[in-house]
Amino acid sequence: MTLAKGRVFSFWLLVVIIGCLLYSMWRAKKGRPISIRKIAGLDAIEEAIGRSTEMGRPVHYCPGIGGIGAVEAPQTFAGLAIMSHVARLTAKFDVPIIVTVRQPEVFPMAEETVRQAYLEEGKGDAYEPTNIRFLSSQQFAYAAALFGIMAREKPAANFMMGAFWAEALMLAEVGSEVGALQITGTAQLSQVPFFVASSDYTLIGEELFAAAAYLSRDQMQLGSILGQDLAKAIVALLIIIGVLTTSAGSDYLSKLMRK
Amino acid sequence: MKRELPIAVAFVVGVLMIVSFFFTSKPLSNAAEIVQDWGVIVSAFALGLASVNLIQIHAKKIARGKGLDWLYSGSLIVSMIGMALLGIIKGPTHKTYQFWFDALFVPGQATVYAMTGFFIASAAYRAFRVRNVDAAILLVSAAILMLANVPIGERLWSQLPAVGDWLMDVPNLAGQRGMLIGAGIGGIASGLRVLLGIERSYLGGSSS
Amino acid sequence: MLDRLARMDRRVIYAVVFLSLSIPLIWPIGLGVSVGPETQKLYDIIESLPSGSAVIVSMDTSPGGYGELASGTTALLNHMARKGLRVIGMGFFDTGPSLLETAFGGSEFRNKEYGKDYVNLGYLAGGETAIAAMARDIPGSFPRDYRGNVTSSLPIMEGIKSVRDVALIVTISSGTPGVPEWIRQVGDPMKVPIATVLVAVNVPNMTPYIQAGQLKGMIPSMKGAAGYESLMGVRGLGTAGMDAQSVSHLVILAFVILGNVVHLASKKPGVSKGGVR
Repeated sequence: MTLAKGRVFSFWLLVVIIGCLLYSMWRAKKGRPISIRKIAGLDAIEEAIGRSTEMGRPVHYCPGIGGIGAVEAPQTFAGLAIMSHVARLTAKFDVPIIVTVRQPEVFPMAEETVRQAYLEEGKGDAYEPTNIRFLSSQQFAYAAALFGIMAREKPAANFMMGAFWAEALMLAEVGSEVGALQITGTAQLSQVPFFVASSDYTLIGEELFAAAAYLSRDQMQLGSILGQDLAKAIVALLIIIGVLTTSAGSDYLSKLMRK
Repeated sequence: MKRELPIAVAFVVGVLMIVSFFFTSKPLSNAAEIVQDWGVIVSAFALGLASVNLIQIHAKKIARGKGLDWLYSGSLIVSMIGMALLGIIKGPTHKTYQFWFDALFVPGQATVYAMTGFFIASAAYRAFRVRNVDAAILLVSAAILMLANVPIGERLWSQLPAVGDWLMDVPNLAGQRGMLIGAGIGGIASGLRVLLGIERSYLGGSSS
Repeated sequence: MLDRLARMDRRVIYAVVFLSLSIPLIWPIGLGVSVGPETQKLYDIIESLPSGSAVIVSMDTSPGGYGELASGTTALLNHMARKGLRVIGMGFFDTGPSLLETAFGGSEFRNKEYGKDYVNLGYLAGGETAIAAMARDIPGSFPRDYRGNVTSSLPIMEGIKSVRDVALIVTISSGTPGVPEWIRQVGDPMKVPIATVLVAVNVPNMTPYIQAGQLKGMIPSMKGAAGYESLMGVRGLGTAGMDAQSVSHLVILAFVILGNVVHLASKKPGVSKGGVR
């Protein structure tokens, strides 16, 4: 068993990144207090659900339109993690939550997440299974169906957290048209500007991945956020060394990275 | 056990996929291929489950018969079952299937996608405000890029495409790379938390 | 007046944008087109390939995205047909193969022989992992083509086992899996050139890959299609769309300026509402 050609450097970089994450998680578990900066979008979740309660209108949640079998899977998991928190709050405040799903394999996870959140809040009877809706596995058919739901059921809060593509702006615009307070988040860089332009709060890139840790305040998870910063510092150092050595005429590092 | 077993399965499968990506080993890649095939089968079953949910919701709407909802829901169920049967019986290359695909599905999807153009105009009008220096820089850059990307920009000023290219290749690229690296490391951290069972809200309930 | 402008009905904006797109399509202005460096590179790669070379065209888009990519795809396929290249088509979006049928039918390949000059291998589920599996063994991943023929029995597949046997891969891309997945699984590890026909919204994300030489060429949206058509000396859908795009960009800019004028004129001291966050 040997390392595949072209993936040697990536493998060792992954080992270093995982090392940073595990080390920080271990330090956090040992009791080292960790504080992370405030994320306005996550702090506004309660405000948005409170608004829905006051207006007597539902909350809409979409955990992205990406699946769990590709590179966008972490975004979907992050979306589901935030959804768990949102569902607990909607259960607590007795506000209906409508969850719309595009990927069939995400559907049972979404169902279970919301059901479990209601059970944990002792509101199992209030859980409405038909509010967890699979709309279509086709991107724009999903978007069109969601336009309809938004127009008919007029959610007062609209959460869209996960991987989104061309439908991002349209969904956020329809949300804005029905007067929903919108909290969105994605690591799909091409969609970030659209969300920023049409939502009230947007989680950009890694903020989405930090959300579960931020909301749970779990030490181990917070530790991993610290580990991310450590890994980023190492990558930044590599960039600086790369720029300096390349400028000095050496291609050693770029050759090493191609190995 | 209800929690531990899925986490253990996720860990084994996740590690297998990572190792098979980096290492060349026939048994490993065979195992990874088998797991991928299982993934496709699970997805197919999930699609079945999701379709049942779709039919349940729309059957309820038909039964309620409120407004025109029954008509919309009815057409959804009829077209869904109709296309599925056509594909199963005649195959997706059959001319009737291809006709409905080309005449209904393609223009329908393309139309919804094309609506982005209208939505961006309305979003830009409403939200693109020069509130501060940052927003002003953003607005000027956006204007240059929009013009640089169409022939009229070059007609207005021949150097505009070059300025647009510089904006894309220097400030845009710097920002993109930073966000890409941050999101990439964030993705690794999120994956690690899921594999180790630290983040398990996807199984239902709270994370820890 | 200012208040009415500030609360302008969205439908007014939609109507103006619709007119700005449709009028130049009906009565073209003829603003001309320029060829971007990435488009020129892809054209040169195709030009440099000897007749009979095998290339993969992967339809990694949905019908929604294809509307934007159709003109570039047609221009590219026509170029490939004229150069006598063997095109192995496939898709990693479930709707890809049907779109590929439409694309082949709308290009000069309709006059060529199926199975010898071009083939549609169909859809392989699994996204990025499916791309990796296909790269190692093409006939093994697609035992039968989209039309039900045994893949290995087709003359076009002679000598084609893995992606190492093809000269170029072009992904017609609007999402995931797309360019990064092809580069990760095929371009970098297997050293096969990757090029793309791409939707405009994803173009800024491709800059790192182009600068690093991981993406060899690109037809970016309609602008790229218009450039490619001009290189081939034809006026197609891409060229026709450029006037419409020019006018619509101007209209959107005008709306942004109007929005700001209204905002500044109606701004009360100390009040800041909306804006770019």
